[in-house]
Amino acid sequence: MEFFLDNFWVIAALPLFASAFIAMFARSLRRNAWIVGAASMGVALLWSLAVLVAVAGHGEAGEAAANYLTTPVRHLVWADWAPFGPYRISLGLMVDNLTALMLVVVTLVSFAVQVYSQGYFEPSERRFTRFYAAINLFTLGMLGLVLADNLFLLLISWEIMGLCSYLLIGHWYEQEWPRYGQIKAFLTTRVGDIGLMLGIWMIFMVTRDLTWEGLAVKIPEAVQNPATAAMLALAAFFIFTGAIGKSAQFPLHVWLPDAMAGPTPGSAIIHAATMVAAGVYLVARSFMIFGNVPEWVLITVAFVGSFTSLFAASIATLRHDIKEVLAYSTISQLGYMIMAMGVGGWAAGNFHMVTHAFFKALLFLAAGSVIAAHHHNQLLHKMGGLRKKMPVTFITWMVGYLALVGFPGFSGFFSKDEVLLAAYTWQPEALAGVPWVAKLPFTMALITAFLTAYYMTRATYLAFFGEPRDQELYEHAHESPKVMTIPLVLLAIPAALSGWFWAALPYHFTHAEWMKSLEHFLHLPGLEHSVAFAQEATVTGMATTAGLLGIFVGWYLYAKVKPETRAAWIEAAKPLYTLIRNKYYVDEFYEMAIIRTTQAAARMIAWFDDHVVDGLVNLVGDIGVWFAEASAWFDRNVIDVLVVMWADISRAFGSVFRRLSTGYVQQYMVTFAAAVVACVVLFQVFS
Amino acid sequence: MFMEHALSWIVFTPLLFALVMLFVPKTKEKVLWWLAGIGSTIPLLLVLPLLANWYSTPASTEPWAEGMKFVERILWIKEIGVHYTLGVDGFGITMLALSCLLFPLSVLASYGYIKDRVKDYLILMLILMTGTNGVFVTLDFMLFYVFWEIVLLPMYFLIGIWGGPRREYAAIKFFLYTLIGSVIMLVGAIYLYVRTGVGTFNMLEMARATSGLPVDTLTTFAFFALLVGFAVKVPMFPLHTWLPDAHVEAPTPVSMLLAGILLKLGSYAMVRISHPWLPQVAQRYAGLLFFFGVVAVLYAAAAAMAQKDFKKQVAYSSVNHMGFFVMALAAASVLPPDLGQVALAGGYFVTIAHGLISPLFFFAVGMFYERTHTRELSKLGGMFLTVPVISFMTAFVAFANLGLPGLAGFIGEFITLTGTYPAFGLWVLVAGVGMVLTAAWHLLTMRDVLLGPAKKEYEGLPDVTWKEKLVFAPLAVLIVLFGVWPAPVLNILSQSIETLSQVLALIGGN
Repeated sequence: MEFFLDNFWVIAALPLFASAFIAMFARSLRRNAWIVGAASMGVALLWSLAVLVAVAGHGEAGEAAANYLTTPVRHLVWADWAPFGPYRISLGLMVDNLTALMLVVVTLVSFAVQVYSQGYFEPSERRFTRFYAAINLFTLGMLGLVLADNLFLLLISWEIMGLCSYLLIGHWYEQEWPRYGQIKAFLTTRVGDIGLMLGIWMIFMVTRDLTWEGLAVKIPEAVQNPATAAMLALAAFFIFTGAIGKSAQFPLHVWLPDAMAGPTPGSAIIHAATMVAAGVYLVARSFMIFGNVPEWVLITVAFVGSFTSLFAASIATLRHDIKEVLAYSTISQLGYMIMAMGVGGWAAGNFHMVTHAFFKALLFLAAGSVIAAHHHNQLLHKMGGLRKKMPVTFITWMVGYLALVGFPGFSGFFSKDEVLLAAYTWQPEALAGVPWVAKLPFTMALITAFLTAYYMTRATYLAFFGEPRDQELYEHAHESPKVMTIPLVLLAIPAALSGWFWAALPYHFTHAEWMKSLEHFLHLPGLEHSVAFAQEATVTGMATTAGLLGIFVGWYLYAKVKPETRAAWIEAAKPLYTLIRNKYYVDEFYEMAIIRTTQAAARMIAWFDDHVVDGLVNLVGDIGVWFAEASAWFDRNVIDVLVVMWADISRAFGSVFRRLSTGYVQQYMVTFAAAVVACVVLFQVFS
Repeated sequence: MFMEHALSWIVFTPLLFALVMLFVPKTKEKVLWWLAGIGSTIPLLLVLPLLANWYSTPASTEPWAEGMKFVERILWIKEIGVHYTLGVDGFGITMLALSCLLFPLSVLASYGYIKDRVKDYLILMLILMTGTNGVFVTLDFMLFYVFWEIVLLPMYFLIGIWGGPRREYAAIKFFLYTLIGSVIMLVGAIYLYVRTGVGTFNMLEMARATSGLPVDTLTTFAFFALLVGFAVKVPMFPLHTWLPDAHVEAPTPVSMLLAGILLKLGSYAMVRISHPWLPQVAQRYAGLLFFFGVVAVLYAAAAAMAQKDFKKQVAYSSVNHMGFFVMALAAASVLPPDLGQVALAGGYFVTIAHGLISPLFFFAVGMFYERTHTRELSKLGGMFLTVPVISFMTAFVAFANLGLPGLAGFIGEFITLTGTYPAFGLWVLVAGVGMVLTAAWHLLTMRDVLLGPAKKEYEGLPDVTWKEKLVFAPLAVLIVLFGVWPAPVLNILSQSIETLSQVLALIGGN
């Protein structure tokens, strides 16, 4: 095991190799590309498991040198990577507990997706190899992100994933929606990325260091000075905007639903399980910044997260497209994780990130199985009764469903509980005077738990239960091939069971240590969290009630209430219905306020450049020409006239004096004599 | 013998070949192409050993070439102290290498593309190469000025004869704009020569004398005289409007050179002349310079977004990228040397990355133009389905140009802003908005040109040729290499950057 741990970099090298290999030999590989991808990812998965076992063998993270810093078990550094001036950016990879866990999650999901996709794509698919090359490149990005030992490498991995997300959304670029979705995704996250970069620049200015180790030492020193602390708080906030963009938090959530234009397996890994969780991971990793700066930053994080979770869950209740329901559900669940970070539930947020990766990837792949079986119909209202046709898909979906709604015993139940518990016990000093404000995130999260159970029950009922609503599609529906169902089962296992590694409530009765192993495994030094059992029981009770209530309402509304009655109720609540159905008009607002404005401004600037700036240049040129012509005129009409005038004057004089030269010698003699006489006379007079 | 005069050989080999080609009849096109190819490749082969021996070569300690390597010096005009002095430091050698790489590539790109008056075209190309290489290696201002002006004339003819429909307007505009700039620059330099009474035009010796001058009206005038001359070349907002016209009219290979190397004459001259000579004035007016830089980033990105001509978009993006360099230089003039080095390293890296990326982008535009005979975005479309390889190349270079991490464009911009932030604070957000706009127009252009359903009228267009692959490969490899491993470039630059940052911080200048 130590061997695998010592050479953990192989895990990242494998997808890099696979991606390059598939891209290079795309023509000869064709459909076989999946073997290269899945095989290398299989090895990476086994390797990650070995690393995880080895890391777990090292026991709990020891006491770190500084607060909010986990101690890496292994650390590789390529120091001379980008020297600029007296500073260096080093390329460093490291493995600690969180990383080891994430390695397994990422490689497992990636492996499942790569096996599954081979069955998902039609035989006529033209860009099969492109998909595999991109998925592997993406996996490299995500692995790089969790292995990075500094902010800069994290940023690079972050952007590589952004590129792959763009490529995968636009997979079917002949159609309009993918082309729209891919640009929207790239640009919206780019807005957040600029914030992230700005945060990094500010951090660098204060600490001259970007490694987690360095930051954990230098940030606590820097915040001693209030001015620097205020600046670092701003920096942390900007870093958080990166997370807002990547993890699709309000107000930058708009891109994720449109990212569903890509192939479903791609959505499963990128837009559900891993990449979108990168924002949560970023906050978790840079907690030495968030935890040390003034409190308002974490309060903002908590509120953004909890608000997003409620906001997105409410939209999800009225979506017709099965993938869109899952997309908004993802946004909402990411809000949970972000909120957990904000309220100091570091381990809880990461725990939910892990379980969510399993069950949401599972749900997406199961939805993909439904969609593929249903002639690429994604509309819930044309589905129904599919449980009989697709038993494996149905059962695995149900596992994912129960995990997501937090049904007792499934993974989501435990992780959601921890998140809610962290929100429930949150007592920020800044909000000590207004305790009800401090309870708001928990309240919103609790409502979200209800809504989540409701919309998932609704989607599940519409897809798998009741009578088929489109008979023809139903007739043709069939269970997916093994190559697709096996990955579903593979993901269903952790989706069902992974929560038991942190089953706080059962632990109280069994005292089985392994039931709390994840809590210790994901312990962040400096962040102590002790909770009374009564509080735990209260929160679990509330959350479970909310979930069961949601399930009941969903079941009642769709299984019992007649469609006509439902329509009448919708009519009664028309304004609210319209508002939510139109996703609160956020897209429309951006279209008007940002896109149109920018385009108009760009046109104006181009006009300005063409007519004013360049106009001035041309004007100078024209003035030059005009001046030249004026000079030419002056030269012709003044200078030249003067020259000619002198000639004329001389000619006039000439014509006068010409008369004197007659050619007679006598006349010259007379003139000469007269001149001599005149000179003598003048001499006499003046001397 | 060779190593002692390596720089001279690099500068004058193309000129020698141009002279030889004068005597080759113009009907023998094959011979002419070979001669031009060899004549432009020899400097590349000569510059490689210089790079290989860079760290083992000690820097000169002579006052006229302090910190320079591979120096040469011959007395030229005794009366006013002009020497034929050559030498390179980190700033010079990187640009020289870039120039030596781009010229053979653009000669190759011209092959089969230029069919008219081949002999004249190739001779002008080679003369141009001598001019640019000369600028990057000379250490004497008068010699610098001679090379600087040599660059103008071939470029004027290359645009004016082989250009598009409005070539004469564009060529004259280019010529006059840069000529006026350089005349003003000459006035500034001569004033400083007279004022200090230093008696030599050696750049380093002049810098030592002029950097001690007080900041008064006339030194300020001299600084801006120099700066305007260089800013036109960079081109710095608002002196940039000759560039879109020149690019749109110039043939593809000339555009490659124009963006790749001619703009760098300006940025190089700033770090070699205007800023080291008058750091005290540069410091006083750093805010102004920064303003023009940051405005260029935002303004050019927006202007590019609104263009309907593919090539004009790319031309504006040059203004955008060079804005980062200007910002970095401004920041380095006010920062302490340690942070100044960060800004300078980033800014200069931007110019190098831009020198690799923008020629390739212009080449990509040219590949489409050669096939479809249009550069209008609205007429192109669906190219990924028609010419997949060319489209892939275009997507690659577009992502490089928009600053995707892992490719060379990103590192420079990132480090530039890392270094600029401490000097100008949240103003860098303006550049950040520019970066988003840049990403936006690249994506929109890719959507319009590459994606979407295939167009009927472009069916059956030939995909990439071997010639095009040969031009593409070296630049693409370097873009990836410096993107994932920038250390080779940054290490070569580090000494020069340290020196300059100390000069700019007014330490060590006397």
